[in-house]
Amino acid sequence: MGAAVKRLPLPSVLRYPLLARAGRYAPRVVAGARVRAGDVLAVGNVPVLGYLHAAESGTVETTATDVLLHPDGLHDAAPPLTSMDLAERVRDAGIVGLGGAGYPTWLKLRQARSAGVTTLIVNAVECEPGVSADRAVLRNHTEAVLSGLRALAEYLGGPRTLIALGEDMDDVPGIETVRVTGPYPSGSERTLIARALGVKQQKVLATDVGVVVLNVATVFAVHRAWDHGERLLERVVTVQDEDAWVRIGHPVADLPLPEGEVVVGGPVTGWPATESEPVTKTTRAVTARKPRETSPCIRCGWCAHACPEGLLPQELFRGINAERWSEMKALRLADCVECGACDMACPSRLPLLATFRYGKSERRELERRTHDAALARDRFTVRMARLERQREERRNEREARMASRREWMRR
Amino acid sequence: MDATIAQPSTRGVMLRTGAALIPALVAATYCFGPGVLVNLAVTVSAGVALEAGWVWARFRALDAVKDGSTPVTCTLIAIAVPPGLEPGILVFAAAMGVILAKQFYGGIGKNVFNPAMVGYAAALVAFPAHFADWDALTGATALDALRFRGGATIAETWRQPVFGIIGAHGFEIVNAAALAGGLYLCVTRIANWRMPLAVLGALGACAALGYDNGSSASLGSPLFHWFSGGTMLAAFFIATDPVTSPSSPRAQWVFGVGIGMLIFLIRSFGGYPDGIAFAVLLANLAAPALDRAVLRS
Repeated sequence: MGAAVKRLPLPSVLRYPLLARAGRYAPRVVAGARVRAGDVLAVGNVPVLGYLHAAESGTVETTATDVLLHPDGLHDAAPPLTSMDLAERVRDAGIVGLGGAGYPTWLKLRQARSAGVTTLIVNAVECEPGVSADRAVLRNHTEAVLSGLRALAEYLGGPRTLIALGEDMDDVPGIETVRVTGPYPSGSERTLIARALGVKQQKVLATDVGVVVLNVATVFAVHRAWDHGERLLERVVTVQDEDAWVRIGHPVADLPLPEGEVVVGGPVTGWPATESEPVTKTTRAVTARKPRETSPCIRCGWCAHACPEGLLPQELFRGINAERWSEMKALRLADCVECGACDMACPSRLPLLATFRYGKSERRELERRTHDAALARDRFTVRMARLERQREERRNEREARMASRREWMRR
Repeated sequence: MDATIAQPSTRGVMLRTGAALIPALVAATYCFGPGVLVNLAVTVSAGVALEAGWVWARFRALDAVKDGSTPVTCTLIAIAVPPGLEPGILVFAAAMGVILAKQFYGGIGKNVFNPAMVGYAAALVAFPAHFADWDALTGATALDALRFRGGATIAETWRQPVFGIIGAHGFEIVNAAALAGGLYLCVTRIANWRMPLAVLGALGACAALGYDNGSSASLGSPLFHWFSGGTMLAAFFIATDPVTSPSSPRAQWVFGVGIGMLIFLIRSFGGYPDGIAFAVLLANLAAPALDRAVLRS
């Protein structure tokens, strides 16, 4: 048993960005209003976005881009959730996939139930070295996770339930285990399904084979919502190398971090944090990275050996740096899963993953521009053709009129 | 230790490669005398000083010298040339390797040719007389003795003192030591295992074809070729240079087989006693094309 996961002290402000990739949130509170922990602050304009809940009681401030919450430290809570349908309860609790994808769990459950599910897998395989949030949840709340799992299994009509564990993790009593072995990044959903079902094929989609995979922290959140009526207001985040309960909305800048470049989402695959970025429901880890001392590529090929997709990272790196975009198709840049295994293998400590992300965005931009240019060209040709046709018609009509007039004069 | 770094740094790679060369250095010193260590001192100090001076003169960061690749290059040169070679020639070899073959191309990672082999070959071509002194002790001479043996059978020729138990006298010990160091590099995955296997396999296969149990027309046996000259050093420490070898596995096989065959051809029919440097340089020349061919197919 590891030490209990501590809860970080309350920050002076909690921040909830209104802009999301899939759409935007509309505030449901006015500036200056007082909210309780669990009250709805904003609602998304598409179902995928769900709700933003206040993680603490306090006073609200709104800006064009964020809802800010100044906690009063009284911990007043909204009344517990009451819906007796699990999916609805999960929706009202604002639970999304906590592994990182952030897909709403209630949608996943609804879809899974209507499609029919034979296997439910709890994923406790940590997705990235240096992140331990998932195992902290499992270690400290094993019984609660199993309880959440029972509720989910019942809702899904009693599928076979499994827990996926890494090589070095202790068995969980009372549940079938599937071990995921091998070097990072072996904990991907595809590998996991293939192992659980004993199939070699990796290109399966979970729903096609009647499998639902839920992250262990998500299952724990379901337990809290179902057994205690609690909303998802906090999550375990690996802050540098320590796991802590962090309230959703906690500004990244306020986390106890050493000096360095702050990345959100894991030490390997994370993105550099923006100045005002808060912890969100999908923030697994926040890490301050020391700058890597790089040296030139020596073409050792270790990156290619590490790549799970069999790409040639060293060639991609050279190609992108030289802006040879035409090579990218042959080198299959688009197939990069951004796991960062190459970054970990590189003896020259080159920023491979960051370069590939840059390359991907540049290529998207290039394609968009080419596409736009093609569209504009098409529109132009069509317009010219239409104008020509209209001129032609006018000329024909005029000639017809002149002809009829001549006819009339002659008579 | 940082959880996000799974592999040693470039410097770590070079340090391990240097460590793997220690058995061969010790064996060479034991067999050929302290001249080997003099070679080592001269080439390493000259190489590092020249590179530092070059980088400094071009207003580049001195970090370029810290990766440890130059000492490894210079150690290989020191073992390859005759012990106690004139210091001027040693400095010349180091300069050709480090400055001409590496820095002229833009530093580590961008060179086309293996720096150690360029240094060795340049010195060999420029000062052939000094290499001819590399007399009764040398594997090169054993290779010569086998080639120019008149009508004698291999067994008769073998009575000369230049031969040892299975290969060239002395050199068989150095080769065994280099083999041990090379296996360490392969097991720890610092060096690629395909290329040494391909080099030794191809050399052994060619030798087996030319060997008829030792008649007067016979060429050297596979064992003789493996344990003479610089075979093991070439296979494990030079062919595996990641910078100048191909990076795709199929190209690496072709590359290694090419080196093995060229070593055999030059040794058996060429004008130089040991063909390793030229075999490697020719293969280096082909490496980019090999990679490209594999990528296309």
